[in-house]
Amino acid sequence: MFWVNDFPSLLLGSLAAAVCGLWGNFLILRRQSLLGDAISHVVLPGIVVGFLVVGGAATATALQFATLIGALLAALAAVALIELIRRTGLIESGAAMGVVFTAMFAAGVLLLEQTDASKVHIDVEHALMGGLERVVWTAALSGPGSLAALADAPAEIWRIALVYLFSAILVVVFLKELRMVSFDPAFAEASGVPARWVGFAIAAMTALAAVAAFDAVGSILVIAMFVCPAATARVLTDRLARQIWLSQLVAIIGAVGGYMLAAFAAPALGLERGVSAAAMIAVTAGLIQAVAMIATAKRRQ
Amino acid sequence: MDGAFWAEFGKALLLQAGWNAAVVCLGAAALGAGAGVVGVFALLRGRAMMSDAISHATLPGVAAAFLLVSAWGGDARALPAMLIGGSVSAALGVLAVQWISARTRLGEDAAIGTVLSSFFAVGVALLTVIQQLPLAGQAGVERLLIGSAAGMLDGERETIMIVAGVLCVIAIALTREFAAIAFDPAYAASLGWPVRALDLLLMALLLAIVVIGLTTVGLVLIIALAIAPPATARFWCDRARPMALISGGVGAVGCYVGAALSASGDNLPTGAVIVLCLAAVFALSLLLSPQRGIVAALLRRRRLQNRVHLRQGLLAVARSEPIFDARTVRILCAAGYLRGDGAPTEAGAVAAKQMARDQALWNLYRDLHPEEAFALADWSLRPIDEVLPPDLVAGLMEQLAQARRGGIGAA
Amino acid sequence: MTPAELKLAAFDGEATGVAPDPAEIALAAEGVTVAYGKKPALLGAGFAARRGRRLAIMGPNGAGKSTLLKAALGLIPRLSGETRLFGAPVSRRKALARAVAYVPQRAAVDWDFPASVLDVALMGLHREIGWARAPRSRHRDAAMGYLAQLGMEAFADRPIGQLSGGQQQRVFLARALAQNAPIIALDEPFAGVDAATERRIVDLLASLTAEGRTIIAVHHDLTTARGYFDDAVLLNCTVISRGPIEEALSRDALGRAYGGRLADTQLDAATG
Repeated sequence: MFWVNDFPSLLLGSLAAAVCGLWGNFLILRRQSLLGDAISHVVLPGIVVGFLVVGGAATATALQFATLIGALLAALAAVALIELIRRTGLIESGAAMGVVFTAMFAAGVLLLEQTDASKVHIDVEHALMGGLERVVWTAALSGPGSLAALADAPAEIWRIALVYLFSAILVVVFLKELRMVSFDPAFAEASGVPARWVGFAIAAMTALAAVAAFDAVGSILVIAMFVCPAATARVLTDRLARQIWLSQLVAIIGAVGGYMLAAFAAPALGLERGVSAAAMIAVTAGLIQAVAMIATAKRRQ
Repeated sequence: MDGAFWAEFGKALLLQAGWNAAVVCLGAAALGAGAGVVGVFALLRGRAMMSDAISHATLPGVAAAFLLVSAWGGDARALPAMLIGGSVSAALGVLAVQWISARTRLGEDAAIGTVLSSFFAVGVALLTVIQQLPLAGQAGVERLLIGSAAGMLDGERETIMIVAGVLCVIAIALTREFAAIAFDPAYAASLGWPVRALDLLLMALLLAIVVIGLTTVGLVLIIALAIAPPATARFWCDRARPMALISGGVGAVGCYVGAALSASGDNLPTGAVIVLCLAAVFALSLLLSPQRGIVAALLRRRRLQNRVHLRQGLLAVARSEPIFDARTVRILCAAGYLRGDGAPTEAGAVAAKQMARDQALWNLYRDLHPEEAFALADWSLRPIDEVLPPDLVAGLMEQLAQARRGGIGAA
Repeated sequence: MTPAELKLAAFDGEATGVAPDPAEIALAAEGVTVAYGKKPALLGAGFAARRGRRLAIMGPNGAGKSTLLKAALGLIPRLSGETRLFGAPVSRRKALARAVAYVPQRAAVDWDFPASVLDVALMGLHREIGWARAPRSRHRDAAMGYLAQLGMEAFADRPIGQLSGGQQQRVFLARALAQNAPIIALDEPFAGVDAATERRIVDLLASLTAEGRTIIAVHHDLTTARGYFDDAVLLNCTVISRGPIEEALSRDALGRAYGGRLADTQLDAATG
């Protein structure tokens, strides 16, 4: 039973947490931690538009594809708009994010209401309560229970695994470029490393990771994983490579630990369905970060 | 969007579309004004996203209050209990953000992100517990997050309007103090003002407006009310008091119109329509504001660029220097000052001489009156006789002539 | 208007100073105009750095010194202006990147970043190492060599957040040396460094020019300019004066640039 129900969930949760935690490292160094939050909110209109474009009679895979593409395009559009507003020099990036993501989110909500919500299978309530949160352990796990039949693993796992692999390769291969651009963009630009383009690439990969993870585990977990693992690692070490490794460790521990907590809290509290696993994973990651912060806190200045 | 819709909209604007609609419009306007005014100071202080942290951090308190009240057998639908619970957890969230920013190496963006996600996750966890318990009034909790126009009814609107009004008054009364801590905290501290206390007061005001706004527009969209009107006002002025007034006005009008629109048709959720109205006003200001908007800035830049290239080009002609820059060549040719082969025309030679003379006068003015020259926005950008008074120009011309007679380069 | 006024023999009123021989110029920028809002930060400014010499870009606060350097290197957008590298107009950023090692202001960077001193020095070797490759041991050795020139080899594994101001500046310089470029452009290299580091940097700049490299630096301290640099360009939104340092920083020119804001004592100290 573990392999049928729990293992895929643990794998999915860990991969989603890890890929967000990975890019979270660069977001935190570039003071863009809230980009994950912003992107999680703008996927809503993207998904709705994707659905509308394809139409209600499309096949399940076409629908999935369309909604993913829609979410990704919405995320990239948001990144572009935020940058445009920031360039005027009058609005700081936090405020720019706030305006863009709330406006796009409102557009999504309106679209949802206008185009018969039931067709889209997205509950307005669920959408507003933190996005399309599907509790991890009730995700449709259709593959057989044997590890050998990887080919039949659910599509979500494949998607997130591919995105994670792609991300990991990029980070390992281009680590020194990422480091240079995050540390001293003016020097990078002057020595021929295009800091602006690398910055866009980081934002684009953040969008890709957010969309792939969101599809699997919902927005609460995505937002938390863009911040907590990297923040934990950041306060614990002064070396970038170590920080990245630590962030992955924290992400996985959070995912596994949170899932276990959610599973055991249910009988403990006498509940049938149990506490939301995604929420518990996020809480666990937050707790780990809290412990790390308190342990390394500076004296009051 | 047919005729009937617009007719309804017109009536709603004039508060003629029924009691409910009128109440919602006025309540929304009050909320918008309050959020707009308070939000300006948060924006100036660089803390615009605090409203995001505050709104997400209300959830655990709301859920916990619901559980506690139910456990004590009270009517858990009671709004005050949930709002108090939300305020307490949001206040803890604000303190947590301050602590993280001050005591760890993490920046404020990471602090806000941490609090936002962790607190919200705790809240969602509690919510999933609530949903499974045989308790009454669960819909009330979720309503707090989604927001609904119905939140304006049953006496809540009075609370909202009074609170929003009080917040506006406090914020405007303290404009000087808040502006000081936003623009120059060191100066404010040197005046003996309690910067930390003022900061916390500002956060408290923001918290209050977010909490009361939750019931109407919902958790995500209240952020827009606290950020979009201030950001809009930014494109119209840069001093704190006018910004606050413009922002309050934009918030009030945007929310009013949005509420009226939403009341006029079906399937138009109040919060979303209001936010889209505010976003539209923001977008228009961003693009079309005469001083600071994008279009104006681009036009100004283009004009300045052409002017600069024309001057530099003519000066190069006057010095018989070759011109390499393609744009300069283009501009000179278009003005008829340069021939195709790069040689100056008759008109070009004359214009070049005049330009050289103009530049010499400007340089003389700068050498004699450096402070005034650097304060002038148009120094060396426009013909001197168009900028300075004629007697001053005449005096400069006289001095230049004397200097020339005395020897080249003696200025 | 008298006929005398209408006759313009030569264009005077321009910046004083002798125009250098074009063949000697390593890096020059002319007619640079930069505007953010309505008032230009720089108007038709420029400089010409001679090969094997040290050029100081000077002027009061807000004069646009850093802006001029960044605009010349193409790091910020400009309304007009041309950069020439060894006499030829620069068409591609790559040429500039290869020829100029840029050292930004120390304060422009967050030093709490997770990197070691060696990591930063290795950034200067990026072109040699190449994109997407890991540094080999020969690159590490080279970087250590450059750190040693600045006396920082013992700190190679130290996180940069633990360095003092002077040490940070030395790391930046090691990175610049690692780029092995004929021209080195520095933005306020002496800001906030201790006296020993300042001495070291001065000696380093002198030795670099001795081997034929060109130094351009934004400098803020009038009292030390004459000792540290050979040429100067004095700015205040436009060029006030340029040329060999004695002439460019003459009493008269300083008076015009600083607009009477310098006390006589300061002028005395500045002009020796």
